[in-house]
Amino acid sequence: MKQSTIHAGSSLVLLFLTIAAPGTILADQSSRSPVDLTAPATPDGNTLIRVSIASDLHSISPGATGFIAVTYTIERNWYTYWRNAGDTGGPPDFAFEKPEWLQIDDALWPVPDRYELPGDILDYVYRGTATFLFPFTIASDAPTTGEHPITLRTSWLVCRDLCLPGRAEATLTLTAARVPVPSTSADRIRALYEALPKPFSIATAPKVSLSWVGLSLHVHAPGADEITFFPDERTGAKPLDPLRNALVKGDRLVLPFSHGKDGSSEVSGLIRIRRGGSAEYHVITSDLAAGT
Amino acid sequence: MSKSLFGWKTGLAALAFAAAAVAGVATSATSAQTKAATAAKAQIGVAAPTFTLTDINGKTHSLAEYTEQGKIVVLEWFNPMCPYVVKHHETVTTMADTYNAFKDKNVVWLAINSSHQGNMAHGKDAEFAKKWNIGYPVLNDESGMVGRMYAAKTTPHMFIIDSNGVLVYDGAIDNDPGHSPKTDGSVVNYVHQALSEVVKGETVTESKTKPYGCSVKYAG
Repeated sequence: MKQSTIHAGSSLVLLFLTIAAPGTILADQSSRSPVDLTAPATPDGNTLIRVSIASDLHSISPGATGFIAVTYTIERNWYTYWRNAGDTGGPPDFAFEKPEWLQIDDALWPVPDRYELPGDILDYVYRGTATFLFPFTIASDAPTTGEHPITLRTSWLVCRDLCLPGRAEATLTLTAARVPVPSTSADRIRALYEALPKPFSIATAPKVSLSWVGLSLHVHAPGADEITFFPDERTGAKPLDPLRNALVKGDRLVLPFSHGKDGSSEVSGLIRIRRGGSAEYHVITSDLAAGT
Repeated sequence: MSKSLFGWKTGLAALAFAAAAVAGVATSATSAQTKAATAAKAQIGVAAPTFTLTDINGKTHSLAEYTEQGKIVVLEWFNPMCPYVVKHHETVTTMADTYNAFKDKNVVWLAINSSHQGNMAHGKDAEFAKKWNIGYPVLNDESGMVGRMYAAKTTPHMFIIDSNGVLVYDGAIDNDPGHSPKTDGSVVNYVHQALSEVVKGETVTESKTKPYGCSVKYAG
């Protein structure tokens, strides 16, 4: 993998990054000044999110598996969207130009936050930084020599009191070898992976109980200060009025659902439980039939 | 996950929901008969809440008057600074094409901007109406009262009111929620589809879809 000098003072960064959309190469991301929010000119959506790309492997080899980490650094006071954007907005899009021997799976999305806007609007958003992990597998017939560029093209909607489209292109060069070698980003990427929510089970959440009463999901988390459900739109069943029903201050959440338009009953999403200053997340996959 | 042994609770909940729904219908229908804008909420199948707003040329538009004339009315929530609105007015001409297809079929089309005064989108309607050669009125709802009555969430967010004043469509302009338009022929224009049915006096097949776009910039 080719070494890069994107970040000033960071000689260990592994990637070679090009931000192509606005024709800008970010040689020193930390030195950029914030957007002047009082300026009358419309900001440029291409520069409100800075994109970096890295891998947990310095060298790849046939049969190896790893992650490509795409990090959005979002300008202060602006936000972009989760895979279920909510009532408004839309999720970012990612496309890779890559060799055939490299299989890149769908993104593992970081946990979002809930954002309520005037007009009974509820969105699910990212602020600050968000890193999307893409699991990859190197085919058994992949080369063991040479440098192989992977180009990411990503686009987004970034909002504050107005919404702007943005896009960027970033390139990561993978170095082929006979044995895989971790990169200097490996620990960071592994930690991000470990921090992603895991499927709910007694083992992962012994203090949390879930049950269905009719079409209502009941969550009991003794000692919790707040429980929130983040619905995943990839499945059909929908929570009723999530603005009012999907967040509760306290340790019991009762969330009614309805079947999807096509009668679908599959439920999925995330549950966030806050206790004190910390939060835990669990992936929920269930079916409305469980309560009937 | 445990199965419930308390199915009766679901029945009670359903009754409560049904009662609430009936109450909502009655409220909307009553309010829609008045000319003053009220707190009535728009709901498919009942009389649409009435309103009177002023357009960028200072002309007032009353939904009740259009309804009394037997017009079919399309409402398009509008914000010229929103990329999705730009998409449908500039990148492709979905709005103009749909309007032109029905403007001679007893259809009145009204764009409504509910952006509050402090928002960047406020005050730019005339500029963009000219730039995009919009052939229908653009109304100012800077208080957000009409937007909230219709629960308009996105720009664009589309509503169709039939010639009896009943709301018959609430949702997206089409099934292409990306901010770049698809060109593979798979786009279904829900508003065109619904209007085709309404002008023939038919029931709208798909009366509610999920709208997409930027959030309406209501005052907090």
